[in-house]
Amino acid sequence: MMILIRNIRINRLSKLLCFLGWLFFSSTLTAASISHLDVEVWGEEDALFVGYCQTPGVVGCDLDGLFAELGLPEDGLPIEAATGKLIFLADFQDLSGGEFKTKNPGFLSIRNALLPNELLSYRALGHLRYWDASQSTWIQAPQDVQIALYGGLAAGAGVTTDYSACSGQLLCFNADNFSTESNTIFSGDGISGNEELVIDVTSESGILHTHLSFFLENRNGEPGGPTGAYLIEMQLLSNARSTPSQPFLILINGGLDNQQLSQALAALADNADANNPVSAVPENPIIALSIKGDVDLDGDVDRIDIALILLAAQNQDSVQNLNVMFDVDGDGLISRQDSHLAKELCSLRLCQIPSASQAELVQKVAVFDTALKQLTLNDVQVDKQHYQAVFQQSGNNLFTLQSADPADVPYTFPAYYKASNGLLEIPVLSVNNEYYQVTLRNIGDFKFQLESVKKIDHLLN
Amino acid sequence: MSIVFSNKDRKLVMDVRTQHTLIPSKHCSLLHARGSYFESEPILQMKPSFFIHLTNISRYLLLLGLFGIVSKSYAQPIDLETMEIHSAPISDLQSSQTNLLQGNSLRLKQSDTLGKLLEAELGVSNASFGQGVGVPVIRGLTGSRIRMLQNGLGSHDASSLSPDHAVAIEPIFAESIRISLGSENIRYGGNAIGGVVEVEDYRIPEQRMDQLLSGWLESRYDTNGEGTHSAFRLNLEKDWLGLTLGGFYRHRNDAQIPGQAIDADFIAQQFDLTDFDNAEGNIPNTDSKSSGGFVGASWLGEQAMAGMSVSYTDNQYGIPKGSHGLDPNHLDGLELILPQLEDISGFEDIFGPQALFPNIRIAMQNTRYDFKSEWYDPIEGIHNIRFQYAYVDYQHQELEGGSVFTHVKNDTGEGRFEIDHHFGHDFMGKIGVQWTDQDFSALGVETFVPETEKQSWGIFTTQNYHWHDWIITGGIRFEQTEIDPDATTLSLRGSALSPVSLPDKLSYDALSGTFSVRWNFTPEANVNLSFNYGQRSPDIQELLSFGPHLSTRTFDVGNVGLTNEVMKRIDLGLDWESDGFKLKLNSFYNQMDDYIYQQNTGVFYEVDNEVIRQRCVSEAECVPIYAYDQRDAEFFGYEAELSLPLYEFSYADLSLTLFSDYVRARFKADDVPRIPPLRYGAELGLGQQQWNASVRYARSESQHRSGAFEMDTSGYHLLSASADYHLDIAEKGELWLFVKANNLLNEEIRNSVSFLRNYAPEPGQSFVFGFRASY
Repeated sequence: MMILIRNIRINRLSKLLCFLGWLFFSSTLTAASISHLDVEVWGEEDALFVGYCQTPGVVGCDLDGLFAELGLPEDGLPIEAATGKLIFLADFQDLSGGEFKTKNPGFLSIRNALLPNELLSYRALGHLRYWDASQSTWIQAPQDVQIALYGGLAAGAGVTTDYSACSGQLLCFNADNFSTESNTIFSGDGISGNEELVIDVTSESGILHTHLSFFLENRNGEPGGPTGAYLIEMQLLSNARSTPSQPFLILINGGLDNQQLSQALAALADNADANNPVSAVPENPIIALSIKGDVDLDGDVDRIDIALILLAAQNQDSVQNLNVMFDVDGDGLISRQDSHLAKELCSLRLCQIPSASQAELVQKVAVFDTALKQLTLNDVQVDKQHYQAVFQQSGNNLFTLQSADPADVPYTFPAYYKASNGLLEIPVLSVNNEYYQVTLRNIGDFKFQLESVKKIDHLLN
Repeated sequence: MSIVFSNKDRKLVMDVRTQHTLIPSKHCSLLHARGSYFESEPILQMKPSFFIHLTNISRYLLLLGLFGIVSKSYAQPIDLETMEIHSAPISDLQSSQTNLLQGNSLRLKQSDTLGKLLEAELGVSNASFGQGVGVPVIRGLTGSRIRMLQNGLGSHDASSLSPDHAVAIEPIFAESIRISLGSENIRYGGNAIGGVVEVEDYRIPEQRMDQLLSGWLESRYDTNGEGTHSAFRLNLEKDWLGLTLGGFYRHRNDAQIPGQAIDADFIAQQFDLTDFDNAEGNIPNTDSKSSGGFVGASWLGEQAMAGMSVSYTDNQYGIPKGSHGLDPNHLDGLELILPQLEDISGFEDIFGPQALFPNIRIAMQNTRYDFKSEWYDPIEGIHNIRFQYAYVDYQHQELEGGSVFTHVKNDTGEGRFEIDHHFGHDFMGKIGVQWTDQDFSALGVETFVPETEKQSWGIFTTQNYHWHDWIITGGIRFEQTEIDPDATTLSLRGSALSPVSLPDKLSYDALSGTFSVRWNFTPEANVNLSFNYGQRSPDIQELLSFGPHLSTRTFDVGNVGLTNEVMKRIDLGLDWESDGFKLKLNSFYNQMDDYIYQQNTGVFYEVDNEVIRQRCVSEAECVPIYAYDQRDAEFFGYEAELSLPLYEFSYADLSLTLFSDYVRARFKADDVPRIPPLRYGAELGLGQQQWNASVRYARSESQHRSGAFEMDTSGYHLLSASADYHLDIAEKGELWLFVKANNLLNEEIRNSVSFLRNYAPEPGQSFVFGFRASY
């Protein structure tokens, strides 16, 4: 069954105005730790976009639930009025194990919203801002507090995967600059440490769901900080697109109650410029969903999908445009039967014994398009340099190099070219969803002759 | 009792009041009557007299004690025919470096695992990983440095790869277990630089017996975990044909403990967690079930024998819950949805506790084929030519919640060809070659060691020279190893890291040597001084690990730049045994150059997100990254034991044994982790030929030298007791009844050598009842 879902294409202007209007009148709020909003990421052509995740029922995507929790109007959107930057909320106290650290917000992309194996990074911007509840104002963060953000580490960020440079270790960390390259420090003075760090690599389906590590601490790295709210700014980068996302804000609650937090949020949003912010809100992508039972749109049917359907059935939710995927059996009702059906479709670990192919997913570094007769190598390693190369089949077993551009895409199975013998070894070449191990020989004049082809049954190692 | 012992037909005739299995000729080399010294452990209630000259019949009787034949002495005439007596090699008999466990003392200590069985031996401790795993640790060394042998060839399981893998040797069939640190270890290569644990169960018949049919049946019950352990063995011998058949079944439920399974202080300190599930009174998922058996057949000729055996073991056991799933607040968001569900009936299999916090279990299958042949006294000067080969088809699956996440496979063939020779009466030794061919892989969702082929061969000799009261022993071995990973690169699934290229092949040459001098300064005492130099080539997992290892909750990073680890050890030992006492003292200093160890990098791998980062919000969801590295280390310590007869009652003798052992292991800057603490204690024994009773107290001190990133362990008192009784049945049968009590004080024991000590203490109080019927 193919279902078309428009994730959120609601009248954002009306939601925003409603939200802003409410902020002036809200007065009764309670409780502390709040839910969070994940950052949904998608790409359109050469540009990257971020928006609020609103996949129904998914943790981190429940904007309405968060608003209800905060006592905000249903149709509001947290956007900084002065700049139109989206605000994502999180809380340092939302997880067990300490009051000054959180791994929220998460970053996610739904199926096909990004390219396979697309590497996402963040770039820290601006400086740390602090909501002083006693003064009811946002100020530059005090000198003695900072937020340390630990992203993922890729080669170059103090990490080396060349054993010849690691005294034989298959992986090593450069102790000299590791501490400064492995994290980003947001302080009132600005950004220090590594401004750009990896978020994660998307799966073959372009799916991503990952979390970073945020720590509230003093300048000596000891946990803690004054009660208040903290605001940091960043934008996302992709190795496959030249245009980064628009900058956005992350507001992290540091011990305020809901009323105080609402005031902090209102202070950002209440200087509305009705002409500007609304146009800055990007539209979430239209998604073609092809997996039955995948109600959270993460590309698989797992236990969360089943639990979400059960919850919807328990709440007697009716089938609407936004939740039509919950009706797995297509009978027009969301019932426990849909959960049972999703359970049968569930194919992930701890839900059902995984098939070998699921345990062996690899990144498609090399693809041969049989229709276009085009061989695309997303990662060719020549010595220590990486290139992206395109070949055109120009005869029987003959390929002509069309382009070769520097690339820093880290793929699991890069192709290797050895100038010494002229051999181009492609460990995994995808051809119509089958995999081959291929060797080409450089015969000069940008032409490569097919040397060997071997079908691969499994892709481990 | 009449005894006929002839070398020609290798036949023993005796009046057997108790049944014992002969130590076959594999262990025997020619021992000439002239002035050679030898020794044995007391079998049953023999009064000890361990150092004798072979000059009269009484010493022959003691010699037979060495063979495990005599358990009760009766003053009856003895007829002797042609006499060529075989005993263990002289170098093996340096008792300060060899501990031979056999007979009742072995059977009383029988346990589910080899480590548990041997943990009370001097210098030995048990690296447990829940009750299903118990690997011997000798003087603080284990894993790839301790060679586990089954009938002379390696066990070839995965126990050296990781502490959560059990040794694939079923101890209940053991007729003897030899713990050796002596010069003979050079025969077994670099993986024996820390010692050898050799289990002999003679599943290939090697001796002619005078009985057509013999065997035994044993069963025991352990109150802790309601454990049952039963086994049988049949020996059939007719003319030139020998057959053996054995089988076992063992099962136990979760181990019972005093207090809580997980050390809450540790969790709070390590993970900042105070709200987590902690079992009280037992350790969940420590149940185990194992079964298996063997069949062996031999042709037993006059001058030679040849035989083979096939054995199979199925072992299924659980791994105690570690930090994984410790925090109930991390279920990828499911933890927020489930509390809202009012009815999960029909979905318990995916939302029930076991599905949410799944157990990790290991299902192991081990099939082993052994072949052995010997040619006795083929020519003058050659006492024995021996060929052995074993092929081991080992595999285990690591399962999480019933789903396989890793499949470990280890197919290994090992061959050994040895010649025992002698030049005259005083000079004897061995020359041999040994080779192995191993295919190893650990693949699956968690693939942390790629498919790899390892080939090695070694050539060695050990020589003993006897000069007056001195025995001089020397040995040398050259070994070559090639390790060839099938993969050209290693990658982390879903990671932003570039793949790691691997070298085509890794080659290592290792040279080892040994020299020892033993001075028998009285017939009752000797001093032994030995120097051992050994090189160990890096093992597969040390070179090629790359990925998260969920069972140990680590991310292992191999190091293809590792060089040989070099051991330089000096041992000084004193053995003194008289009618009045028995004293055993060992001291050692072991300098390990380029000691291979896992260094905590201080960086984490977040399992769920498949990302490496320097800090994690939820450290329980992250695993620390350990990289193999080398640095110098030193180990030193001692073992001491003094046994004294206290009083002779009319009905029994009272004896006292005092013991202590200690090992200190350190790098230059800090301590080697998982080292046993100082241990000392006493054992009081009361008994005679038919029955015995003993009570043993051992004090293990705190281990404050726990190593970097490790927590100290507290000291504990271990009180245990045992009693056994022999009952003759009919003419040739015997019934042996026994009872044991372990950890009588029900102490909470956090074993410092255990990887999982903070999650799984040693079992609490237990009582074991059992019998063994032999015929």
